[in-house]
Amino acid sequence: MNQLRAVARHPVTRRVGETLLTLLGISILTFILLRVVPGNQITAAYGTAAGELTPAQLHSLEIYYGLDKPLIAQYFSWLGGVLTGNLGVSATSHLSVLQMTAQSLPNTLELAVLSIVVGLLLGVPLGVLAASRPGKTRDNLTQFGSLLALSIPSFLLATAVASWLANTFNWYPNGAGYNTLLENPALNLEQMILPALVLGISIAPPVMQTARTAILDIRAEDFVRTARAKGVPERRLQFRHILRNALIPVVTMSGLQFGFLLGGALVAEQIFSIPGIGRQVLLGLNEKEYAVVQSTVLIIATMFVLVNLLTDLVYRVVDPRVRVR
Amino acid sequence: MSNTAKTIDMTTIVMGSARRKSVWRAAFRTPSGIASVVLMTVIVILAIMGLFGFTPHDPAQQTVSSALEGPGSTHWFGTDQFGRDVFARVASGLANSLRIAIVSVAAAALAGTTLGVLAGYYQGLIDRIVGVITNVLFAFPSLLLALALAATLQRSWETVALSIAIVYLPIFARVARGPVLTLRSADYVMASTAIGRSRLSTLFEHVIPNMRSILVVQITLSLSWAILTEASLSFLGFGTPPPAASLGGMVEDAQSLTSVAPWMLYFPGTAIVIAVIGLNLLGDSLRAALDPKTGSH
Repeated sequence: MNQLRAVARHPVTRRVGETLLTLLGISILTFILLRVVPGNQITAAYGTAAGELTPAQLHSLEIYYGLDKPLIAQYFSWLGGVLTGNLGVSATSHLSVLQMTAQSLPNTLELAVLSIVVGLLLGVPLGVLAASRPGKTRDNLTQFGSLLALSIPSFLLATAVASWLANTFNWYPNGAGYNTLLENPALNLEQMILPALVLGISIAPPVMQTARTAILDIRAEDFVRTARAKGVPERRLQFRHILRNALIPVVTMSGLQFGFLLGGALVAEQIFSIPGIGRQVLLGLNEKEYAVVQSTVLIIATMFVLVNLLTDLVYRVVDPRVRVR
Repeated sequence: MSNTAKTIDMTTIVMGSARRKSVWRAAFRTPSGIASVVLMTVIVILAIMGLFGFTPHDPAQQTVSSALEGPGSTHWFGTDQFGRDVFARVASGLANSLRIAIVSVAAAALAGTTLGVLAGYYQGLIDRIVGVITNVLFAFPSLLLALALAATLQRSWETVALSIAIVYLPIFARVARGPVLTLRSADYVMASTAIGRSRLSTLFEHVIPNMRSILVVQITLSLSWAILTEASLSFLGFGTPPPAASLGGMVEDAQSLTSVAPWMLYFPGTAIVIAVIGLNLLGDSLRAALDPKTGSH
């Protein structure tokens, strides 16, 4: 009995319980989103033709879609479908949402990974540069650059860069059909460069700030002074002792950008015609395929919550200090 | 930026009202403070011109004969593909952006702060419920949630503002809850309840006034994000409905015409960036001035 209580009070159990509660809330919110759509599922499925339906036809369709039942019953029958993998079918492509997502998600994940790589490649060296002389010109310039990068929306940067390259160098790799990494790796990477650069630039500022703060904090730590006193060469001290430790919060920070990247992917995928999960949402909205939109939004939010849970749990395993709390 | 709110160090709240005047003065004496005032003045003047129609041309007036004209003395910022004056459209687009940003942030701040204060002050069940609401709202990438909300509601500037308000509500709930937790056990708050004040009047007289500086900074920064979100929504085609001018929609229009009419991209683009930089600088200088740790240098 006591053991049971201990399990129930364990931080991991609490964290998992909290996640389950959040997922329940997410499902309710996405369910409501579809119900407040102007018109309802019938209009969504039949478009303008819905206006020509007779009252009798309308009534039988309402029974067919279960719209005559109370909202709570509708919610549970929908949730039951979702949990058994029935996320709906697109009326235009006749693919199920699961099939569509299986095709689109890898593209978005590839873009997210590449963007994080770009963000790290830009952010970490700049953070090192800024931390090398805090408060001096190079620090201020880097800070200003990061403010500028934060203030330019990705859609503007993407449009400007894409049109500049297309107009000046006649280079627009994303004009042709999209190639996946497996189909044509070289062309795929060429098509991914610009969107990854645009998204990477928008996550570089938080990466840079985190690196700068972490380096300044660690430089002041006792073990650095000890190492220096022991005669560790300066270069080795900077890289092996300071930068290596400073990278831990930086990696966490870039992991936290995952959610932003899923949202930012909406814009980048749209501009650079990459068939990812963000584009799936936008196409669904444009085609008024609300079931597709609802399920895709649900998938994205669930993924985000699970990734956060996973990060937390991995941290607990890796860093013993967290376990004590 | 991710969903995580830029929160302010809790030490900020120890700043009493006595030092508030000098704080404002300090905020606007730094180079970035001065720059923010200059940039925001430009933006606000343009927005006022747009709002009251003080522009030389009507933003909706189509003149096909003067379509795609470059910037010049008649059309300062050139014209678009329908011959509409880009200057007038930038001005009225800015007015629209600021209107949506102000309304949405005001709503988010009011509702979010109320929830956060209730959660932190009364704790217990309210705290748990607010916790679940914020967790759920934070689970969606902010642009995606705003898009889903804006797309499901009837399109108008009010629903766009409502969508953005819902997205930013949890940030205010979280920002307000933390300081309230610290403040409720502060000596003067305990003293107030000890002398027989009700919890509610203690809340309004002692707790809320001490959160003003945190909220001021958070509101300024949120305004800049709201402008970015509104512009992104309009760019994707789910923001302010046409024919009303919106900066994001103007960039979308310019996308296919950049080789012939680059000014259609430059001017609305610059307007967005200036507004966002201005608000970010304002927020940063206020934060630096309000935070005793960074305010010293």
